Amino acid sequence: MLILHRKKGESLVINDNIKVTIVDVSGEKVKIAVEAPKEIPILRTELVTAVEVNKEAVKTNGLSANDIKSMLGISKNKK
Amino acid sequence: MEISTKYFDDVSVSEKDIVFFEDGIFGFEYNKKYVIIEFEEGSDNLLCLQSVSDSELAFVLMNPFNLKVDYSPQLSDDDVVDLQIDESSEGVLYYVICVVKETIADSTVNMKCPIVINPQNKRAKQIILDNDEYTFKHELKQFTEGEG
Repeated sequence: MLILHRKKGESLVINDNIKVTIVDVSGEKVKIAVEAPKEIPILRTELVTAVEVNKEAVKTNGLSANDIKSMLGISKNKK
Repeated sequence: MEISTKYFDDVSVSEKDIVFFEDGIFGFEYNKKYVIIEFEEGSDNLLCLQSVSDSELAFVLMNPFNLKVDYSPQLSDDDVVDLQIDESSEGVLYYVICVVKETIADSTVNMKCPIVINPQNKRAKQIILDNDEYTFKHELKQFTEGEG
């Protein structure tokens, strides 16, 4: 992994068709501009994770409404 | 109209019951219309978010405030616009998606990405909270064993 320092206004180029610019830095937040060809998907990492977790959530491997209710229902966790 | 569901028999729903996700749910962008079905009658603790058009597409939702009393999701300005919330966002509803496994020990809940519903207009959105305290996979037993 390449790790480098950049200041506000500085940029870097990946594969001569993707340009990443540090637009602003304030406190813990860094504002980044990415210029890349349209066909290259750019996603925030947390969005990728959110999609993965959602896909896992819809796979309930044959559990029935009653199974779910008896495991997670209020009567269960409130005694 | 009658819809087929994943966990229940066919359910009759009317247009006003439909919750509309303009952007879909992460990973399911093309499914925009859902209905909410209670697993336990009269309780919003455990709900099913059932796609209207795809009977096999359903999420298990829980009320996050029952899991963690001090849960405090923050909406962004964009969220307020998307959900068309006016001054008081008081009535806005939040639910979290569960990954339900065979046992509660393996089941998790996504406190990081709640489903937000404006009950006034039934517009809904899944958001990603900018709060490091909440993660994509909290163990459910951690909430159900203690007092959140």
